[in-house]
Amino acid sequence: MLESNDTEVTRRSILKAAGALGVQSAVWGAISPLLAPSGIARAAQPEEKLIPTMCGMCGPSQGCGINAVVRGGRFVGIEPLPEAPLNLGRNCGKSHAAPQWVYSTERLRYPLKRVGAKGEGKFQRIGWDEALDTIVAKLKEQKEKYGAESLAILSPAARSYNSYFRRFLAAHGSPNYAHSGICAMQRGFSFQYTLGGSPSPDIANTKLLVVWAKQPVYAGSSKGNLRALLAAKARGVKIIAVKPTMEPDVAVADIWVPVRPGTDAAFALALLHVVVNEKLYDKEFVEKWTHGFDKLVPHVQKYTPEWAEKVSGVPAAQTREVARLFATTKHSCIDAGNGFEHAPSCNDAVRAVGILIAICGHLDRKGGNLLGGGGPGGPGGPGDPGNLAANPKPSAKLGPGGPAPKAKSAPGGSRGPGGQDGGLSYTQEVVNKLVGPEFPLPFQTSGSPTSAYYRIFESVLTGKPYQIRTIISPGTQPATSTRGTKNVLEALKKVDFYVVLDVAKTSDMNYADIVIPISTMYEVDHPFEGGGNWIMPRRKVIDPIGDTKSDYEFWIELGARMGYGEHFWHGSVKEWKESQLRSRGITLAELTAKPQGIVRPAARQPAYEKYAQAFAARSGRFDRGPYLPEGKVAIYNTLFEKAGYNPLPEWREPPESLTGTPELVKKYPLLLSDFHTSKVYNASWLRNVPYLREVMPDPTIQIHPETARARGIKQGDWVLVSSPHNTIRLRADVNPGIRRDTVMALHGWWEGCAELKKPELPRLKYGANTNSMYSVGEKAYDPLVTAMSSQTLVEVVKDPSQSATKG
Amino acid sequence: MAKQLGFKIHLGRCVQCAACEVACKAANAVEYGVKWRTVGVYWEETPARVVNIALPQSCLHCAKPACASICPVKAITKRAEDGIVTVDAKKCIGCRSCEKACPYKVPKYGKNGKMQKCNLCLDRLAKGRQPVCASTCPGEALEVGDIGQWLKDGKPKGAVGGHTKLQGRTNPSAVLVKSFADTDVDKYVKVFLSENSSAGKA
Repeated sequence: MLESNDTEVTRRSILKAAGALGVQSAVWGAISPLLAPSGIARAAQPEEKLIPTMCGMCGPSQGCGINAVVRGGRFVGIEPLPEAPLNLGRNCGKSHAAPQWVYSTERLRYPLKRVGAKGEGKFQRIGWDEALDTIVAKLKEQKEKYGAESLAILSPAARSYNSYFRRFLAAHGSPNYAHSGICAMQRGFSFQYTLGGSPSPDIANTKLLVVWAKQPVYAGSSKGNLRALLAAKARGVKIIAVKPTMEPDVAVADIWVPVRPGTDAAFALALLHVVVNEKLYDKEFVEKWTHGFDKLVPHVQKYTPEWAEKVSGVPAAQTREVARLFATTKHSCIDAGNGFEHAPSCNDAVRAVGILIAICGHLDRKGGNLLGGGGPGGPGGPGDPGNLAANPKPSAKLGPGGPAPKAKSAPGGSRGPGGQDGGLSYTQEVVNKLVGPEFPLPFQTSGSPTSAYYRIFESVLTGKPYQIRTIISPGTQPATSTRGTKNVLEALKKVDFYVVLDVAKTSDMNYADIVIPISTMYEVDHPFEGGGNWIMPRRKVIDPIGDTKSDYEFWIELGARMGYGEHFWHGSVKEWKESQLRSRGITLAELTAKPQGIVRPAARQPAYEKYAQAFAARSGRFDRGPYLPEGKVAIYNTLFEKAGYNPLPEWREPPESLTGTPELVKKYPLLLSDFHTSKVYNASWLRNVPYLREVMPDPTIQIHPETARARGIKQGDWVLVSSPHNTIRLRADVNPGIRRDTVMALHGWWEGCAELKKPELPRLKYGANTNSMYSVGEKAYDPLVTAMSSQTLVEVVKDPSQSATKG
Repeated sequence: MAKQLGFKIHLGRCVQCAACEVACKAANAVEYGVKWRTVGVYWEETPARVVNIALPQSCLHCAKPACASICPVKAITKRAEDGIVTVDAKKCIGCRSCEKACPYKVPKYGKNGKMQKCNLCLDRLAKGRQPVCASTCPGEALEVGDIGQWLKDGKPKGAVGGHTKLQGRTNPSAVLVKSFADTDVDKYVKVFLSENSSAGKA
């Protein structure tokens, strides 16, 4: 905190804000004499403090810059922070509603222990010592009896604090960092093992942009995705959007490819079919830089556009049009999003897309897809915030559950966004104990091994391959955020010990033995983080609400109490913060002298076509072998083949689909899938914030007018949506921006909103939890990358009861 | 022409993220159930394509405000210095005549029995800040400024077309900009800003 010069900060930031708005000088100069720069500082109210910091309302990437407004010691709103390179002073609705979230009645204010039955919701307030000591005693006892691997920690969306529970797991001796197979890691993995890295779209220089399975508007509207999209549109770039519904970003597209949910692989394979058979590929590139093209040619013969039309619903003529446009437009790129991770053919779809980019000659060329840039993180890759192995600083090997050897904990600042510390890596022996490897063992890394999130619950229920005894949920809500809700709740009931860490009540908190109340990011002065080349001190806007701690403080303290102090700065948050800065080559004085943060010069755009270097990239596996053993694009993947997987991308039906399970279609004629994010909510939280809830008051299901009419459903009707696994209750949002055979809903609904008299919703029957609707059998998984299907078949009927709640 | 503050709407750049809606409520502490600003969405399906267009909507601070003309107690007035139309809650008797008179259904009846609506963030302007909807819009679809000056300026930077002054019997203070080659300005005008549209309906 810079209490002494806050007034100065206020003045300076306002003046700077005025300067930054100079781009709109026509407006600025024209409005009123009040707006003259001299008038600006004069008009600022003395009792109002502006505190430059970062927004804490979403993730996983770093927060947008804000000037938090504090009046009378209370956080009351936000003003622009134009210096923030990520959002340039623009902010989304979530950011503006932050005070309502911070002061919500649902906030957890004290540590709690369960006193009633699991699921009953009876808790008693306890002190921090009792909370931490209870956890320590349980973990020590279980480590002794069952081995350290009996502990699993569920990963939320990648946050910078994930590094610390990863560190905790390493120190404890458990590899079970549970990552949900629905976000970024799968794409990263498949791209790395096809192209040597994640191919980030060079949107600034492209002529044709394919936005595929991505939500550039809703995934952080102020974070740059949208800016890039609209700038491309203004330049006259041809935009093709591939997704089942017409979202606002599709609305700016020239071509909408309304693919059925979960069938991206089929469409991608058909694109390859056209490009190969019409010889639209870059022959020179294919010859010089790809491995196995000769095997691809016969392989894709069966994936005709007509075949793909049956499976994906994309008209054959449109497939041909898109393939030809993409292959023949110089400077074309694909912006591949999170939707790929929601199908059992995830790896195949991403590999097909990678191969398409490569053989069309768009890889690492101007306006194409660049290597060595950003892009989604893969395990062990530079974009993986949990990756410790890629850290160049010295690292310590930890024995299986044994005492931690002396190691210099060396937080590193050289990794991608989110990287806060590094240092601890795993032995092969510990990694071999993964309870349900997210990626097959030969592909696991020494720095960031992962179990598949849902496999943790299977282990609890079946005891196979062994029993998980403690689950910790730091900012994640498995009852609504992963599939198989019924099993998840059963497992939470059965598991020996369950700990929830969160800011507010969660959808499965009632099953917790201990609840840890977390401070919001507006209540803490750490960590130091920033987006890309921007670093700024996160500043404490208000004192913590209730008796709460930050995630960072919790893990550092728990680590120390467990006896892992040498890896946790001996329990000193101060020491940790200082070491964070040391590793970034910056002092606290230098940083605090620039409250708006320091923007370092952007990395120089590297040369194009650096194939020899990119294709030799080494993995984070134990053998440190390259992703591409042939030093070429792996069209035919010999590493996958050796591990027993298909070397060429193929089509795999979701467990329940229109073409895969025709026997179900009579009873359940429509395809259901869900949206990953929305304009005002994240995953399973923020529904309790009234200003956000007013934008999307009720859970809805998007349905085509013809489909609705055939069922007597009108706009706003409450409808019952039934799959073979559950029935949920949503309100019809009838519009033509969706396929007639598909309905889509937003996942994560359960929270009520007291201010708007919206009740909390059941997690299962008659709730609105889409994750309760899917199959979780073995067919739901991608066999290689454990992406999980979020597709099923449903029927939708008007609910005879139109009241706000059922039952 | 006297100074008239109003909105410049960059058609096509509004992507329905609702940042303006929430920011407006937060900055003005607007009560639950009332919105001074909304994002309207219009759907159309033809055999050739599906159209989805959006337009941010609020009070348009008309040159000839029907709300002010009809108000029996002169609670709604137009400021001479900048043309902003404001409601004086002390004078308002809550007769709701303005609600019916406004062609865009802008004025809202509050829990206190008075009318309320967008005042172009008067308190923010006084502090040297822009109206929050315009300053926060991630799509940069909104600007606030002097309508007359814009019309004199000609073609806005980066846009495809020039400024189109919104017409109507109350002479709303808004200019539209054709942002992209395929932006259908006529359709926007027809759908969203014709009289009796759902503009401003929360």
